[in-house]
Amino acid sequence: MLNVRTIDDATVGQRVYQLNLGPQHPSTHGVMHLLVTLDGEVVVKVEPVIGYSHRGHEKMAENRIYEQFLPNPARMDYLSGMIFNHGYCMAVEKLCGIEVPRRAEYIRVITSELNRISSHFIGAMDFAMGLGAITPFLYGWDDREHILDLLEGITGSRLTYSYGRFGGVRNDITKEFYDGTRRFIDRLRGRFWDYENLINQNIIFIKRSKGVGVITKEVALEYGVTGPTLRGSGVSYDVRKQEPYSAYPEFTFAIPTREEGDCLARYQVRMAEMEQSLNIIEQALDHLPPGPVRAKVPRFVTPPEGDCYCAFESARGAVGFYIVSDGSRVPYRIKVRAPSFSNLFVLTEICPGHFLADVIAIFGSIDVTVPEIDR
Amino acid sequence: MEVKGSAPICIPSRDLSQEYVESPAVVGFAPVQDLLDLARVNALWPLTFGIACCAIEMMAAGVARFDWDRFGIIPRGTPRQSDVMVVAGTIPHKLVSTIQTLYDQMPAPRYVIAMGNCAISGGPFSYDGQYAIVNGADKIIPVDVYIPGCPPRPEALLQGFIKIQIKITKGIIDANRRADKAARRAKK
Amino acid sequence: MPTAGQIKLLAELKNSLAQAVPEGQIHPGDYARAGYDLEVRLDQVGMRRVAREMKARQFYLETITAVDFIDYFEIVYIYSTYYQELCRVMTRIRMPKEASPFSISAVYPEAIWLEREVYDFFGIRFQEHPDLKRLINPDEVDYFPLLKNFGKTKFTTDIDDILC
Repeated sequence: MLNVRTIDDATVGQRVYQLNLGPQHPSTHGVMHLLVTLDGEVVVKVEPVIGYSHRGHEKMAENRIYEQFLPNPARMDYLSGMIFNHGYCMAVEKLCGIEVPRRAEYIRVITSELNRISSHFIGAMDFAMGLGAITPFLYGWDDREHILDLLEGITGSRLTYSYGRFGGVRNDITKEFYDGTRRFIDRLRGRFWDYENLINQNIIFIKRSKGVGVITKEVALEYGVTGPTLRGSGVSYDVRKQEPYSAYPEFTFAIPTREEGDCLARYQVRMAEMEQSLNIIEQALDHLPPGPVRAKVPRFVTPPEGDCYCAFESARGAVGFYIVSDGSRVPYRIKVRAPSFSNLFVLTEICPGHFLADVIAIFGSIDVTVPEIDR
Repeated sequence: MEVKGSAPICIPSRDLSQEYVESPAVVGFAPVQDLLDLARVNALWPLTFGIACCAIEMMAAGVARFDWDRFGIIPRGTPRQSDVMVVAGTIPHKLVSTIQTLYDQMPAPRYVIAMGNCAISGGPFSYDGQYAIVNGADKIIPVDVYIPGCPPRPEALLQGFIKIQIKITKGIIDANRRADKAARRAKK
Repeated sequence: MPTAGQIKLLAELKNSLAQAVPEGQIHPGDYARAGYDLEVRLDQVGMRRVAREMKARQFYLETITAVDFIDYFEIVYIYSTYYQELCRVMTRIRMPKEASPFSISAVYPEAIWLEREVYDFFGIRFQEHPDLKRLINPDEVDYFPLLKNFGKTKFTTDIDDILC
């Protein structure tokens, strides 16, 4: 790590200049605008500019009834759309006191974990592509297509799902889904060796990611970092274990953590989490209970007055839905705590002192989804 | 209770008919122009401007399963080297000047594909009282092909590229029309 | 079911928060229904003390949000913890519309952005904030979108128009 030269107004414009990374940039995932102040090739300051994906979800929630807002959570973080969708349903169910049948909980867990795996494929492989490795990108997206086929068979959509309903899920899983998921688990277990062979020993990959962008535990606490970004720094915090929800208490899985806190650690955490997700899916399929998949819920839910905060774990970190209800069919306020919002801001703390190329690597390893930041 | 003071749903569009006139033919001979058009459509290089969810389906159209490279489509990171701009995603107000700048930076002949419901007309986010987005890419730049879907399947994006090919070559490449003709001939 | 560790942590928190902000009211929360274990209600000057206390106990700031009730604002700060047993603390400031709370960005740098977002959407200015300007909306707009008298928010008397 190089020393950070301090800048004052006298030197700005002489050695130090500002560069716009974005909003249209091939390596930034989505429209991300980073105002980078550079001294030669060394970064002095990074300021992310956000708002290029703002669609007004929270205002829209105040103009919609609870059921009409169902398509929106999936479009906030489209890579973990299923997880957000189920999380929103969970928040409203918590507020109303609706009990979800066990089979529906299991199906929610299976689909959420499949979604988590597909999101980690994108997260980890886009990070590799940001370092220049194009081949793992193709491998990862192809494996992801198998998951999308499975989920399309039961939900009808590939990316933005509205499968969850208040009280359960929309329809039951089919036999093709069941058999296909079993085959997929076996196939993916064999494929992890391919990925290891392809990337993990590559000297360029290691040199560009080891020791780069270290997030210490104290910095993580100050900035509210969650998710694989946090678990790469040695804190084993996962909302699925900290506040178990849905059917997660019934499954045994580990929370992979690494101690170093650099980009390589975060990548390794993502790859290890995919294996844990496979374990969860396998356990859920083994013990899938029979029964209904949707509770009897009134056509338009009317939660009682009050507020509720519901937390769950998406592929990027701890999400929270804070719903304030005034007793009517229209929410009074819905606030979504997006993990990428806090995870992105930590960039301002850890980037100074690195080279410009490392900024791309760090940004890729944090794995943000921009519409989730802007909502 | 009536509330006043809602923000505009869309910004007024510029009068685009005057600004963007198609560039004149390079050479005056029609067959040469047709040949150039044929060459052009088989190497359409898009500027991938993925804004939101549709960007993922656009990337999925580029990778191993759907593979737009077999059509000659290679994504370019800069507008200076691209023929077609794929606007994939919802357009908030903050992004309008960016899109216009990028369109202006593309060298002619240039085309625009509006991918997804949001780029066509605001999509699921357009409602009475929406303050944040522009209802469609054609309010700010001229659009050639619209691909509906939320998000559209990668095959739909490939179909959209084929429609641009038909448009550029003015019907010389038109697989659908050929199939119709052959079917009609077979029926006779 | 709260475990022994959680009960102990909650009791400790209650004591230290009561010492830090004697003017606030501290209530237990119903986790199963509302998602938080402890609720603290204050006015706008006590927030920094609460934040310092939470930071000392290794809590992280989950989010800051505001709710526009017709004649007052309610700003909600939610803290949660990585290391200890589950405990979520929700702090509310109920303040009139023109009031201006103190920023806690000196304690939690994450609050720099969270408070900018609250300013951007509600117009609430935070004192001693290093860089209070718009975050998500374009810089030149003059409206605050999430206020209830902006745009077409339907108050509850007009529900049936929504089902269009």
